[in-house]
Amino acid sequence: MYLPMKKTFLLAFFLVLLFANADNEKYFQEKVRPLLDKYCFDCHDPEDEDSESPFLEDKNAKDITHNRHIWKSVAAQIRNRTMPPKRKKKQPTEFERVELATWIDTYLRSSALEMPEYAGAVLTRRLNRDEYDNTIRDLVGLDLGFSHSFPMDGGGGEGFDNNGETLFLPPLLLERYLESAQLILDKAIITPRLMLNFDGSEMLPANSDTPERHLPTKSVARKVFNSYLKGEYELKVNITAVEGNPKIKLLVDGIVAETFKLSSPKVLKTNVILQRGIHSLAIQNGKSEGEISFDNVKIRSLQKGDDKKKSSHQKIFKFSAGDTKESQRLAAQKNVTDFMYRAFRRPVSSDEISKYMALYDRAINRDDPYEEGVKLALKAVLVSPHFLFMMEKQAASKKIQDLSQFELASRLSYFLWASMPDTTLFDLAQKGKLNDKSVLRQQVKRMLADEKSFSFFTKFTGQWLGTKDVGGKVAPLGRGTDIGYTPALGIALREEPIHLLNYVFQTNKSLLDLIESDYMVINKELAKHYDVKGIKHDDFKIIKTPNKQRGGVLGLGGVHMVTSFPQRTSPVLRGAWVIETILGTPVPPPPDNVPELPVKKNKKKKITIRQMFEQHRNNDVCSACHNLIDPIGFGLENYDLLGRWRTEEKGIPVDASGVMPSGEKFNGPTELKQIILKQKDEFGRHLVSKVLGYGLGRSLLDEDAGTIERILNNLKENGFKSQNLIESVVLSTPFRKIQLISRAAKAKKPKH
Amino acid sequence: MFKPISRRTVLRGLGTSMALPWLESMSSVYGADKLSKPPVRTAFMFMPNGVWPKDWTPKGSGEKYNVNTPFLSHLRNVKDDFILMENLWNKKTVGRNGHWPKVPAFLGGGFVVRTTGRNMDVGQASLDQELAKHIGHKTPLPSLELSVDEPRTGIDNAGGGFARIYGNHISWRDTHTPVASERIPLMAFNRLFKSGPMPQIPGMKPNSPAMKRSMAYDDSSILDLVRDDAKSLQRKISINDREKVDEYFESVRAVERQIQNSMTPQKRWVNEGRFELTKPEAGIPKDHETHLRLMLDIMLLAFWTDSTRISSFMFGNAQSGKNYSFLPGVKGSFHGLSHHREDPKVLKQYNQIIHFHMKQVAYVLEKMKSMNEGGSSLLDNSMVLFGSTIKDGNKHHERDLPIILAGKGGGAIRSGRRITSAKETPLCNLYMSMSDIMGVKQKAFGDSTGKIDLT
Repeated sequence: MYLPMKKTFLLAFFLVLLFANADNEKYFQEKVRPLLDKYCFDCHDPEDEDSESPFLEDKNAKDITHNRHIWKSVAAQIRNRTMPPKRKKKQPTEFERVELATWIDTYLRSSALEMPEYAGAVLTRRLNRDEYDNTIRDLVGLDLGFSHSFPMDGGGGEGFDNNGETLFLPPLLLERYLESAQLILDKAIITPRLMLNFDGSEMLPANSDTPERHLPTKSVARKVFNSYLKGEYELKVNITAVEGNPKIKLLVDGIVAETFKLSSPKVLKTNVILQRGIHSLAIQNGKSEGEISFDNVKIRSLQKGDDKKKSSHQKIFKFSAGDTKESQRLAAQKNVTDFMYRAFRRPVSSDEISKYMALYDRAINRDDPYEEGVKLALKAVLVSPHFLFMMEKQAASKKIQDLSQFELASRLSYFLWASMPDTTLFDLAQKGKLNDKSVLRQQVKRMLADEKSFSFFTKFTGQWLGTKDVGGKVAPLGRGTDIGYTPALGIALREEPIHLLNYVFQTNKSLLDLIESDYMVINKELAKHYDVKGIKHDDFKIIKTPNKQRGGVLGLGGVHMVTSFPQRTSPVLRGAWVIETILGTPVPPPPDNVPELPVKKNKKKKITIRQMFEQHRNNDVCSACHNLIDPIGFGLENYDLLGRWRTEEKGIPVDASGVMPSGEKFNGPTELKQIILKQKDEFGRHLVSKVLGYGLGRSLLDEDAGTIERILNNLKENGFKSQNLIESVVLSTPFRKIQLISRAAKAKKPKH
Repeated sequence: MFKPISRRTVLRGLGTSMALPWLESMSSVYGADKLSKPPVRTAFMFMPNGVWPKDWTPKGSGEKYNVNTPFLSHLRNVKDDFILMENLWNKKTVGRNGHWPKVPAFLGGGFVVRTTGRNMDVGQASLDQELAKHIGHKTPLPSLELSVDEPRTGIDNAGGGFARIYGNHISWRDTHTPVASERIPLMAFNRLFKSGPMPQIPGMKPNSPAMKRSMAYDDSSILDLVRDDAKSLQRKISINDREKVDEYFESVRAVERQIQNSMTPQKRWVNEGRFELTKPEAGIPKDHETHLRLMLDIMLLAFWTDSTRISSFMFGNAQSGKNYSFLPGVKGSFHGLSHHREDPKVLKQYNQIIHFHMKQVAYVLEKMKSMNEGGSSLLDNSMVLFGSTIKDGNKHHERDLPIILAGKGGGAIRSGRRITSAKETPLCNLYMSMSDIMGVKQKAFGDSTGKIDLT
């Protein structure tokens, strides 16, 4: 059934040469289209509006370039023999399969490079939870982590949670932004402790000329005051009973805080906890007995001074104020402007500044302290759309134009740091230097070397490989202690991939090391787990692999966990994971009517997972896809569900051999990796699109194919050097430029 | 008038560990107008992954049906208080992916566009949000969205390329904007407190100029400013971006309205007595049932205090990965076990999870029935819809969805029976009838073709 390998390759090579010179349109019309009509038309009739893969609508080779993702899948399905379905009698010959798939792939690739430069536009997107926390950290200098109370971010596009299309801002989140802004500024800014001293006569209703206040029975005197910090306050008042033994109540906000029976002159004292805000203190004389007089009322915050706040306070109050209102306002304006510049990540206009300063004035006009005035203006800054969203000015036309310097600075910093730009980036933007490619290259190097880049590796790796949930949602049933799982192990397994990528990029290793390498980045916890001797360090360090069991992402225990069920390994999940996550080929969903797995007839007979799956591959409906998926999964059966190496399962030796649909045979992960390495273009292309999608924070479109191909070529010319990938993404057209795009057409709906 | 409160917990009138009730103290502070009759409340409760139909469907028709099927028997104490609704479906979900497009369609019946993020579209805003648009202004919170499951994120490629965010939401403000739900009990609880009227500051009237200059109105002035910012932005950005800024703008308006409502008390229903619920601790309870019941209690508290009249509640997300092995004999996730292939061992575990959820439904309904609202019960004055978006969890059948409508809707509903509609009746027909009872007249909703007679 299979063509001998060598012959297939020769043939493919021949075809590639042929296409390079052939008239693509002619070839499509004379060769490709008739074959597709012959084998695919039955189910993919272009007139059928319900069809989810309407690729036959494309009547010319040119049309294909606008439906690249569908055609990519057409080629893959034909090559993988997943289409046409086996039940169809009319099946293409092996020659026809190679011919079709090769032509489509080659045409897509070559036409990608011919595609015009495309920049596109990134949807205005709000900061996601991590970006919010990081930005606050860099803005006010306090690492507070408020975002745990925010609703979870969705994630979309290329699979990352910085995708603007799936980042929403519901009222609930806006409430949280308001609350957090207050809490952040309350922590960052030192407001002088509240110390109110006033005479009894200052309480309302006013009726006294003397400092002390006389209060007859059945009457109340009040004073409204502000507390600027949630906490404990002491209330104190000197009271004398003019006659009798009056009953006196101290009320806060209408609620009784303390009741006293008075006989002799006394200093009444009580402590209350107050929220930040406006309050009223009232002294009430009871019904019977007689008049009282009081004086010397004190409200005092019991909050202890906090020295740790100083650096954050200083970061906000860079310009100091004098004693006059005028000099204070001047300083406030400078401080607010500086904060706005950093928070909005761009220069601000005087109109904007005066709008925010109006809030300062609001506070000062009611006699709030200077710091509170600034705080109120800054609170508005922290809920402003200019802070919460990454804003980019709309391009004037479809013509590609440069992003503004400050927009580019933000793109860089949110790409590599998941946070705001630092002073260096702001300065370069200010000086207009970020258009200079050599400056950009320098910055990429500097930013990667900065420890903040660990955010990128954390967020990118966890979402690309799916390992971010290891130790959380991905964990064994129960506590897992029976199979050697601990929470600490879960954390280590989640972190290992991050440290691996961090190492590969920091040392500019080849990206192919992610498939196969002779090193691993582990700590003591993992060394024990992987049975590696002599590792004593708690932090992650690079070591040489002692044997062929590890190296590359396929040796990561976290990956093995993600691709297992809670009780057992799954060759299907593992195979599909490699095909999707490493090679970027979408795995088709199972058909609607999945037949039952054959029931185990002999219950006593032990069978391995592999044997169980061999059974279902005998079923025609399943085998079409599973012949592609399962062998790869079998090749990883040497790893148990926690990623430990095993040579037997339930006492039966593990069989980690497999045959790919192409006929290639392998035994064990090491040989499997060699087969995967042959597809380094697919791996490279997929990784490029992942990093580009993350960097842009948007879904990639057909129009981006040219960019991807150009970055890939660049990467190949540079020996897959990892830093070259980051650099190429940063230097690419869509990352640095913008153009007007017409409103995306709504996805087509079926008839009903 | 006030119960003495621990001196150290005098916190702007509302305490940290302060026992409820607080509404009576607030209403007496304000002397706000009270409604003469309890309003109708609506809750929409969603369970993912379907049921095992054989254990759901009862024998007998009309009022005389036998409630003692394995699943329904949990509700026998409230048998006279609910209707088993049959033969309803959301036609536009038929033949599509088993989970992702079905969840957003639960309360709207719309066609959900397959996408990894671009141009998300669910075809129809959900009923709870439509109702909130019309009557939400009557309460401090227009609606309350609650859930207990950790959201799933990213993209389901094996499922054909759906952004998983679809499966996290049954509430949709419009066709492309999901409404976030709260799953942290303390956060949900605090929202209710915050949404109440401002505590009185004796000597200062809520709407006086002095009050407007005070800190109490600071957030309003901030929102004023940023709303202005958003407005000026709308002129400068592209149409696609405008949708995002519009969303921000709408959220600012929603929070402004909430603040406004807390300043000017609305005409609300005030219950006598106490609602026993202590302030939840921070974080999420480890025990799932504790978590669930706490969230359900918070929903009831919101109804009981008339803080909102509309709520949606998700027992789980589409393809919930929640591990239910805390139930005896269960090993695995709800979704995992729902694909039981009729293997008796797996089926038994799957059914256990459904039993667990039916017990929670019974808990809510029985509690609502026990809560007296001046002669009638909270359940009498409510409509509680409970259901799933597939019938058979294993086969993803879209027909004859398992749906229960509990409560008498303030007297508009004759409960205690099964209503077997004609086959393939739009679920939206039921929503039309419920909408009527909430006082929101609509010409049509989703794919409705009429109404269902609930009287």
